Amino acid sequence: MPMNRLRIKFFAAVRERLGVEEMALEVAPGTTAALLLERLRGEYPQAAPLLATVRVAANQEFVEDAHVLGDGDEVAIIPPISGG
Amino acid sequence: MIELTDAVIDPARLIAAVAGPDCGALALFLGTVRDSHEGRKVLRLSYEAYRPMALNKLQEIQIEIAQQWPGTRVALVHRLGTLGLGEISVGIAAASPHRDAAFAACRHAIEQIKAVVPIWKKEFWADGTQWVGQPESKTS
Repeated sequence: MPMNRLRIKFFAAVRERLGVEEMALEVAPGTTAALLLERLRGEYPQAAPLLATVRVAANQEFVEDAHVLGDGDEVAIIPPISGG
Repeated sequence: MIELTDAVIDPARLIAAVAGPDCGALALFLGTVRDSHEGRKVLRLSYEAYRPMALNKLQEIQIEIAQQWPGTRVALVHRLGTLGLGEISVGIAAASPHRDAAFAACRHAIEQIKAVVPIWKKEFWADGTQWVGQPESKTS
């Protein structure tokens, strides 16, 4: 089964904890935003507590947990916003 | 006017971007860097953004305001990078035929910026740092 390729972007505390701004990830078709976060928490336990409070954006729009990510999506991991 | 900038925010530019003879009121809001937060002394702040999404969201706020308060124009500018105490981090100008709409639009804009625009601030203290809203990120 062909995998979907995602480009994942990290910001603020999560970016610092992971030490990367961006990574490419292959996921099974049907992978949701919630499943992606679960996988990231598993692969990067040092960032798991930070990843517990994030939202996900796909192609620059916030998406729900059940949103299915598509091949080529730009996925951003959005920590609690603190602008202003 | 929608901007994310590494340069000092000039309120006069915000005002010029929205002012006009059709407006009888212009409200200006400036967010500035405070020297304390939750009992800690803050030395400086650093802001980062997910730039393309932040610009999209700022534009959505601008459109929302034009729809909700017809005849009202807003300029929205957020600073990024390192800011010292007292510097302007965010600037909003709202011009409207009447003051009620100008105040309301200005208020709406700052509340929405804080809720939906992907921008983050990091506090620098004498003895550590923290991304605001992420206590887990504290270092000291």
